[in-house]
Amino acid sequence: MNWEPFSVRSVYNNRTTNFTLEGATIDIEQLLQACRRHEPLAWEAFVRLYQHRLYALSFGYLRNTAEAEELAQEAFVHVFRNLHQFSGHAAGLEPWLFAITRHCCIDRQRHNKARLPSAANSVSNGTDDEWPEHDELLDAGATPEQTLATKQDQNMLYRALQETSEETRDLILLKDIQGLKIEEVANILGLPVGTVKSKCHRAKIELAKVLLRLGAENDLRDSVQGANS
Amino acid sequence: MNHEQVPEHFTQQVLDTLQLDACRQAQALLDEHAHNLLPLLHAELIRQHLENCSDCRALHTAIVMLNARLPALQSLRVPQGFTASVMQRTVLQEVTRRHEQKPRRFVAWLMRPRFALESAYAMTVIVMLFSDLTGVNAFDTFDPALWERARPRFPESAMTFEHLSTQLSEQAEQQTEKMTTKYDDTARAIESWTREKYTAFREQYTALMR
Repeated sequence: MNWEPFSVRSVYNNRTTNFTLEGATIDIEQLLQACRRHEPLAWEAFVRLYQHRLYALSFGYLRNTAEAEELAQEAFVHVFRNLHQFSGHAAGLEPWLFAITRHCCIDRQRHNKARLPSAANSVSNGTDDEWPEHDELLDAGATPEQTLATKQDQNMLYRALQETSEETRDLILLKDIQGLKIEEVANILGLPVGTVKSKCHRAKIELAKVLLRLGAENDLRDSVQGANS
Repeated sequence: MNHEQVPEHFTQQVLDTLQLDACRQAQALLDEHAHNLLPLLHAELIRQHLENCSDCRALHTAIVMLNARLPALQSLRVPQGFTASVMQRTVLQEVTRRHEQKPRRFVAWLMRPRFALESAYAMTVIVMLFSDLTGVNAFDTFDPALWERARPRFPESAMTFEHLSTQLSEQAEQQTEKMTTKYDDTARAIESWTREKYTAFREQYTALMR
């Protein structure tokens, strides 16, 4: 079967609403209904709509491109299998998708820890090579120096994220990176809203402190390297 | 107390504690300050604290940087062939689901509530056939030994199912008649007992009223 990428413009150009994919506007409610009927074109549009975010989320948890890719695919298969159980509106779709992806990632982390006790450390000490090659966040008009600086900054952020506690990582990934509301994060984590609100604040302070420490370490390393050369 | 008697390290400790407390209070509000959500007075106090405290200043700069950079990590471009892999896995999933559907459909048919009613009805009919509830015990009436003994007395043509069914229905009628008679007797007994009791009660009532 040939699943070459194609434009969904021809299929969904008559729909009126708020989601745009490859230049076509898509009504997410209708897309959901079509996915529930297991229409392949609708499902492909759905995958294209959310694949970047689910991949980013799983990369945030695992910081390994190969594993993140596999986990994002697994999450999509889970979503496909359980789409008929999702009875909410389009607004509740993203939290549901992120919850599924998070569960997949946590399961994989547990599996890795049980199989290879050193796996967790190897992830947290990951190198720059683990950064995804196709990074759409980089500005196309930026100079190579700027691109490198942005890449290094983002890599530093991911490294800092890996050095924080699991709870902090959860909160930062879901609220600050994926932009979920406090209530949605509370629903996913199974915590009261007030608790999540205070924990979010503490999580950011913790991440900022780790970032400062890593920055200081890097400065120290640079100065040592400069002195040696 | 004379101020000269206070040891210098004590003063330093107090100042450190106050500073630590101020830092803790300031750090609790740094995120809101970075988002410009604080009231003017609080914002001014934080600003003053940041001018004097290098640690909190660095932390504030880091938080501002985080607020600017974190949303940019929301999505990453997926590797080449990602969508195709997802579609293939999904198709595989769909095929597996269809294969699994047969037994699941049968189980669902067994699990439906109507099946319970139907099976209960069938069981009732079977129990009634094997017991004397209907007055006809269809299986006990046929005795092979008796049949063998009776067979020479009847011509071959009479040994048909019609003959047998006539016999069975006659027996059934007799049984039913017996049971009806039994029920009639019981009903009659109850009626006469009630009548007697009522007559006695009426007599007592009439005596009392007099």
